[in-house]
This record gives sequence, structure tokens and C-alpha cells, in this order.
Amino acid sequence: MIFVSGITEDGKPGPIIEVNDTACRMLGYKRKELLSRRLSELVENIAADNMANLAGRLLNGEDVSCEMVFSAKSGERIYTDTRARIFEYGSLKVILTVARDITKQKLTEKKLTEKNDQLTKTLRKLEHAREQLIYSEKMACIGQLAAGVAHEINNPLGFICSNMEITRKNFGDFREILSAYRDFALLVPDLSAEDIIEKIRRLKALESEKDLDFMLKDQGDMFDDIEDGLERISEIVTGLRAFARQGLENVFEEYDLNKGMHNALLLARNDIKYHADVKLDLGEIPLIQAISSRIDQVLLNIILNASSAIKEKKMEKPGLITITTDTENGFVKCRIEDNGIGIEKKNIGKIFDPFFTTKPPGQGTGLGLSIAYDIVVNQHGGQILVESMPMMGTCFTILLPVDRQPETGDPK
Amino acid sequence: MKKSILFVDDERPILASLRRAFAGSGFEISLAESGEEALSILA
Repeated sequence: MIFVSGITEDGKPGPIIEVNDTACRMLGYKRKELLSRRLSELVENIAADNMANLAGRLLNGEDVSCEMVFSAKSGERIYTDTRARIFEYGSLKVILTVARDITKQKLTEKKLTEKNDQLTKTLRKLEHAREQLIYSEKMACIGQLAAGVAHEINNPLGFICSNMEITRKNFGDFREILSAYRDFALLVPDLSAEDIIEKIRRLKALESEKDLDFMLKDQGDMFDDIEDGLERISEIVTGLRAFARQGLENVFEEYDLNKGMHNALLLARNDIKYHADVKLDLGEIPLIQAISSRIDQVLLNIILNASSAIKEKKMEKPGLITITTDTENGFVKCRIEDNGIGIEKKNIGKIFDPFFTTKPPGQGTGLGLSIAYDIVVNQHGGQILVESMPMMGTCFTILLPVDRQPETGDPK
Repeated sequence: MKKSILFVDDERPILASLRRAFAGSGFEISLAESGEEALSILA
């Protein structure tokens, strides 16, 4: 669209004095409807004061270019890339405005921006869903452990309570003996030698009636037991809390894999101890950069898998879970091996697939290993490998880089 | 004859607390840390 506008006597843009056919067609006005109107009346995206500013620069001799949105007679918007300059038309100075239609380009751009926003939102939702999935699988794991963990807490709690009760009773006896001695001490200055001997004999009798020597020794043992019990409860609660915390889920920090293994075993202890022994061979390994709670989750998951593989084999003797840690070319390596039921050949390629499970409905989500894979491979740049022989056992190997790797979406 | 109680548990501190709780109750108390040990006491 081309417009020629005059300049008023006081040096401002005047009415349109000529337009081309394209402008008439695009704006939907007849030529004579446009003549004598001002260009600013046709533009809707530039406020009056901005328009005056542009006009000022223009009349100072500058070339002006900007994006203008014209409003057609039909109300339709026409986006343009517009340039304007002063043009000498004989002795007459006019403003020449050339507006190139970019409406199509604009609309495409707008659609693209919208699509992009949508995709960003979808991605955010997906990432959120992934977090939720990992978290709920973790909670399912804790659910599986809950009964066992309750037992692990309840046992020490039981003997602590019982010992406390006995301690209270003992304390009553101690107090009785002590006050007998105090009474005696007050009387001593006024007593004859025979009386003293008699009183001491009675005190001794009281001591042996209350079994004082045994009580003193046993009270020490009780305090030791109470202390051990409290330690056990506190360990398991700490382990559980470390495992369940949802904050800091994506923060890489220094992580001690051996300690993580110890924690996982603490939580899984009750699930394992009645049908399998655990052989630990933890090597000297460096701290690694990892998301602690995520790796804890992977270790616990694989240990629990080993435990149920042994349970499923229904052996007469206890099974064996062998755990080793070690280093290999900038990776820490951890093997968790069981002599349980093993994985059938036809299934071995599917075990990391989401929702794949051989357990009956209601037991196991089929998400454990796919999430372990996601955590180890995608989030940590490590590897998780499996070897298995049906009826012989399974071995999982987890390799985690010592230094942090950038997140890759790629399995290898 | 004195009535007796046999406690069986795999946790020593639990057995110890039971022994204390029943001390002076008039029962004869036996403790076993495993099924095998319990059977050998009963034999």
C-alpha cells in the first residue's frame, strides 16, 4: 500500500492526497473515501502521542520505519511493515508511506508462539507427572516396607518400655535402701558399738532382700539395652525420613554409595531377614555427585526385588544376596546379586519397560525398574545392567559416574 | 513343682526384658534365642 500525505502549514502530517489501488482494495475503501483522511486515523496500534513523535522524526528528515496495524473498513486487521520518508514532489514536500502487508507472516508467528507455549506447558506437565510417578513408586516401596519397618521399631520399643518400668521399680528399691542408710548415718553418733553392728546387719539384710548387687549390675545392662534400642529406632526413622523426603529432589550433592546401601538394607532388613542372608563386600569408593534420595530409591528397589526373587523360589535354606561396591574407569560400580528365581529369557528384554510386571494384579506397579532406569541412565548418566538365569538368580549392576554428567535423554 | 515359662525370641534384649519383668513372679523362667534352642530346652 502506498500513501502520499501532505504536510500542513504548521509542519504536521496532513491529509492523504494520493493512494494506490492496492491500498484501496486491502482497506476496502473507495479512493475518494481515503483522500482527505489522515493516515493516523487508519492505524490502530500506535497511540496518538507516539504517532506525533514518529511524525516529528519524519519531518526532521529521518526515514521512519515501524510496524503498523491498519484497520480495514470491514474491521479486519492488516499487519504491515511500514516505511515513511519526506519526498519532494516538484516544489511540494509530501510524505510518502509504503506499507508492506505482513499479516500472513504475523498470524503464522502468532500461531507458532501459541503452539510453543502449549508445548512448554505440556512439557512442564510431563515433567511434573514424571516427578509424581517417581514419588508414588517410592511411596509404594515404603508401603511395601511399612509393616516390616513398624516391626523393626516396635521390637526395641517393646523392651525399652518394659525396661523403663523395671527401672522405675528398681529406683523405688534404691530409694528405700538409701533412706535406710541415711537414717543410720544420723543415728551413728548416739549408738553403741553393738547397736551399730546390729544396724549394719539389718542394712545388709535389706540389701540382700532387694537383691541390690544384682539390681546394680542389671540396671547397667538395662541402660545399655535401652540405649541400643533407641539407637536402632533413631537409625530406622532417619533412614525412612531420608528416603521419604520430597524436597531437594533435583539437587546433585556428594553421595556415599556405601552409606546409601547401608540405609537401604536397614529399611529392607525385615523384608529380607527371614528368608535370606546378606553378604556385604563394600569397597573403598569415592563420593559421587548424585541426587541422594533418588539413588537411595534405586538401591532399595533392587534390593527388594532380590528379596522377592528369593521368596518366590521357596527354598528350604535361606537364600543369599551378595552386594559389592567397587570403582571402574571413573564410575562407581555396585552389584546386587541374588540366588532367587531368576528372570525368564523371554522377559529379560522387557524388565525396564514401564508397567511390565510378572506379579499378579495388585502386587507391584511394574514401574520400579523403569523408574530405576530413568534415574540411573537419564538423570545421572550412568548404566544399569542385568544378567539372569532362570532358577539360578539375577545380578543387577549399577554404574554411576563419579563426576556429574549432563542429563541425556539417550539410553547409551 | 514350680510352674515354668519358656520365652523364645531372636532378640536378646527382648528376652532380657521379659526375664526381668517376670523375676519374682514365682515362675521358673527359661530363655531361647532360636527354635532349635527352644526345642533342646524342652527335650
